[in-house]
Amino acid sequence: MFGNICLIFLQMVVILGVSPFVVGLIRKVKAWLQCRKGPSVFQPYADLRKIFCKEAVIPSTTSWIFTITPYILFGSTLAAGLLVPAFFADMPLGFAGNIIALVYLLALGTFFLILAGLDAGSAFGGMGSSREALVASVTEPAMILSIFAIGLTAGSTNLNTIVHRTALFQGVTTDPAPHLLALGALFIVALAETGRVPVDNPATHLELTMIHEAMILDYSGRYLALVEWAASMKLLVFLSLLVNIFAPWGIAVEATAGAMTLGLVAYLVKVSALAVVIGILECTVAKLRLFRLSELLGAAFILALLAVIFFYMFRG
Amino acid sequence: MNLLAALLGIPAGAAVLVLLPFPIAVVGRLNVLCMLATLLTAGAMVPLVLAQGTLEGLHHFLRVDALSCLMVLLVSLTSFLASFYSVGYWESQPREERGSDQKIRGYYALVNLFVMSMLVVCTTDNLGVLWVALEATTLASAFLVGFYNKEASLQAAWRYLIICSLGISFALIGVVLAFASAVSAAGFHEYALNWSYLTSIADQLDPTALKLAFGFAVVGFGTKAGLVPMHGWLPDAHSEAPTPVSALLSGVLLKCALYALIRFAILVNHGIGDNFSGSILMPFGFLSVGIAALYLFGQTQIKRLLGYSSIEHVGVITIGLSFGSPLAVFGALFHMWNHAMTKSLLFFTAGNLYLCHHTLSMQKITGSLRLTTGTGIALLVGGLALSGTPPFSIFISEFSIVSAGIQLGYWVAPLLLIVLLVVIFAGLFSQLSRMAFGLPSEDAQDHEPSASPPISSLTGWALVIPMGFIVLMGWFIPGPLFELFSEGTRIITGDVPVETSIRSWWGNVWQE
Amino acid sequence: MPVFQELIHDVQGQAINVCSMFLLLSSFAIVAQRSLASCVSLYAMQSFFLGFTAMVVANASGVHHLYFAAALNFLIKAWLIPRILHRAVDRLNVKREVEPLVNIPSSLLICGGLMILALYFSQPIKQIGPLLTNDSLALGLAIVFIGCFIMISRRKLVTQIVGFLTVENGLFLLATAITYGMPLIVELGVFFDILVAALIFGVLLHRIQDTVESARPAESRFEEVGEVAP
Repeated sequence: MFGNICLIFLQMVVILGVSPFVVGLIRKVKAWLQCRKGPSVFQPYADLRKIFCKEAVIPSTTSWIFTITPYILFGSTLAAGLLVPAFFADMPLGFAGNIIALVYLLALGTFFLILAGLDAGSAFGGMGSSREALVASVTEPAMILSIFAIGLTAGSTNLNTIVHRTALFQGVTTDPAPHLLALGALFIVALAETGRVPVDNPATHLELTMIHEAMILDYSGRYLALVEWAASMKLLVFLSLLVNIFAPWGIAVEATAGAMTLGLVAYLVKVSALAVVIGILECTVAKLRLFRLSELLGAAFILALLAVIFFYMFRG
Repeated sequence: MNLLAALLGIPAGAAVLVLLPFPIAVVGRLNVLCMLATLLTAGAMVPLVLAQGTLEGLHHFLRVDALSCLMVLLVSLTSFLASFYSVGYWESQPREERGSDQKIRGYYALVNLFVMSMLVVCTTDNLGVLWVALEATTLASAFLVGFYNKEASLQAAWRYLIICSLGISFALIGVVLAFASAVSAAGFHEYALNWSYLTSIADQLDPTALKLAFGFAVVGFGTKAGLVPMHGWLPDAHSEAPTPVSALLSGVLLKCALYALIRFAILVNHGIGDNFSGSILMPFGFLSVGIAALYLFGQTQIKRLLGYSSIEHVGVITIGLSFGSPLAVFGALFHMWNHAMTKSLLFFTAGNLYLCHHTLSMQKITGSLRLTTGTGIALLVGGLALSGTPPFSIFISEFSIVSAGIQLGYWVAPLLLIVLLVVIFAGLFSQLSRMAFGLPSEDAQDHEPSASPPISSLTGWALVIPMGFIVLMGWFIPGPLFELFSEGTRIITGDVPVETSIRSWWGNVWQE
Repeated sequence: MPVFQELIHDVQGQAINVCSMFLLLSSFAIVAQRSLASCVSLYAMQSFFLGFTAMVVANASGVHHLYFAAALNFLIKAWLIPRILHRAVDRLNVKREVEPLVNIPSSLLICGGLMILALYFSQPIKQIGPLLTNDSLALGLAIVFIGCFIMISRRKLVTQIVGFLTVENGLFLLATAITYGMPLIVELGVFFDILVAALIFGVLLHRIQDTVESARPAESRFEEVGEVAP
């Protein structure tokens, strides 16, 4: 029991602690590729600390939703983070929810963020919310289908089981084709959900294109810090999901200190590698026009659909 | 064996020969001679085929039985007529319209390649080679369709190439499936794609695969044959191609595709029985006849009209095949010949009318009986024959198909066919008679072409053979040809001895 | 070592599956593509995967003439034909964008539906093919259908060619899957036909470009043209 609590605590620390680093790493990679020196990879920590210390200004037109949203967002994202196996394949909270619960925990945060964006009544907030709603609604089917495909190949929707099975090289070797397709779909979904480049550009506040940034324009102080932190956690959750479902190499399958340490190191390496990939991608791909988004996400949906079809085809 | 080699070798050699720098008039006549040699070779095969049953050659790649022999004879006869007509046709056209001599040489070479690939289609035993050759006919004739390099003709060529190539790809699926089921049923065999081998093991083949294969083959070969939902290329290609090529396309290319379909149908009927092929083919046949009947009315351009009429006749042949009784199949085979001859006659006539009037619009061509009596008579005879009027051969074949349907106890199908044929008679003959009778329009006389050369008398002579054929065949089929038809029917419908029933029926019609 | 051999067999089967999956994905990518040049490049990629699949099948089944077919695939379909088409695209002075009649997300969905249709069609004939490749059968059929869809739903002539060639690739996969390829002579004939077809397509494209400003098939021009040469 105590061990389990320790594990949960450790996981929380890892999620909270690693997430700003991932954001910093992506920025650093982009800076390098653009021949800049760029800020240190630990800059996001300093940013968070600075914003936390600032005074929070709340627009007078807003309701309680505006103030409660950052806490809900932060809480739901952190809860989602605790469901995903990061460095250890058998998370003690695994009983509390499967991969579908994970999706809807994340969707809960998005939902409140959309409401909060509308709440302030500013033009940009509303615009951002409507765009976010669009992206979320076209991402949803693709995401559910790809999860369905993963669940089929692993024979379970429980994240622990999925990771455990793939960790023992079962999923990858028995059905490589649907697995790869689901990976492709989930990768696109991850980019869309976390507002990365082909969908949204986190580094700009250009009013014509921004989605996520537009919704949080009115936040400041600790609220802003919470929202930003939650956003980076969401990114980390998706990265962990991708990494551990499709490349669970090195993850600890038994609760020994040695395996844990190895798992932690492997986890950091894998997540960093994926962050580098995303950084490179953001430098090479142009942001899509809003109307083209449905094409990208349609492609993700098709990939996921094919994964499901392939599963049935190759199995039966 | 030597005959088979000669049959394919002569057009291949001719394709090279016509590219040599002889004067263009010589090239045309040389080409006629080569085609005549092909025709004679084909004719020489008839007694051998009748005596031996089959001729084989080239390590079982080539195999000629009565059915193939009929096709070979038809292809070579029509090509001979077309090449004969070509000579006068090109001589009568002004240079700026027909293009340089080099282009005409290219035309002759392509026609030869086209004819050769059709001959390969009819003589090969290997379904794969048959497919390759059928695709080759499309490739060889694409430039012929687009010969005039105008916007409309190039688009017709494009459409022809795209639709036919795509369609025939589906036929390849059918071929692959047939091959696969043969391999899975009887193990790998060197000649597993050979039609003769496939029919011999047909009862061991997987029936589902065979049905699916036939479905794909109908779509594929049906596209090439111009059956209705897949007929989009046909009217354009027929109307844009130079006239001799139109005659070849309509007269024999469609029949070659039908021949491939027949081969598949035989295989399927051997494997599944129950006239499965007929039940698939019949809707296509009726759809073709029906749609073509409707479209005939709205046409303003004579070669398009003839194109739609080709769709109709392909439909009639398909219906005949789908009835499946010996009499109906006999009628269908006979109809192939009649249609090829009648259509050649009418296309040549249309070409002559064009040379005279410089238009193909049916509104502007009137009174050709007065203006050019020979062409007018040909138009009238051809029109009557094409719409199925009694003394001509098409009537006989259509009549035998309809009466076979009634003999089989079908009622709806033959009646529907009769109704449609009446509609077609109205659509076709009303248009053609307006062109034949009446006063010549004023334009035609004013529009005395000064630049064009005099119309060669060869264009008129080219009409004689097909006209003679359709008139004679209405009364009498020469013995060897009749035997070929009967033997072909026996190959298609199985081991049913059909000769007596057809002969007696034939006697009845003749006496009446 | 029967266990080991079984494992190898399994791995080869999966390698074939993954290769044919990439083949299918590149067909989907062609559907999703907007620029003509990338359509052609994707076709080249597709042919490359096709050749690769054929090689894996040849290796797994021990049918050696498939190596030859694979080599022809690399040479003709992955290199020569894309070259011809790239040159044709470069020479065209049309807008180098695909003009889809059906928008791209719906096209993708329709192709997903076609995939299911192909699966349905291939179920009854699965057992006549060899076990090793019987999953690729449905994929081959699906690629054929997708190729047809590309031809129907895209207006540009170049995309129609790419659609046709995609159909041919699907056919090749189908033949490879169901019988380890057709007899060599037929295979050669098919390759030859495709090559000649591509050349003719190129020439026709060029001529149409010369006579018509924009290279697209007119929908109903033919009826208006009453007076044309016979």
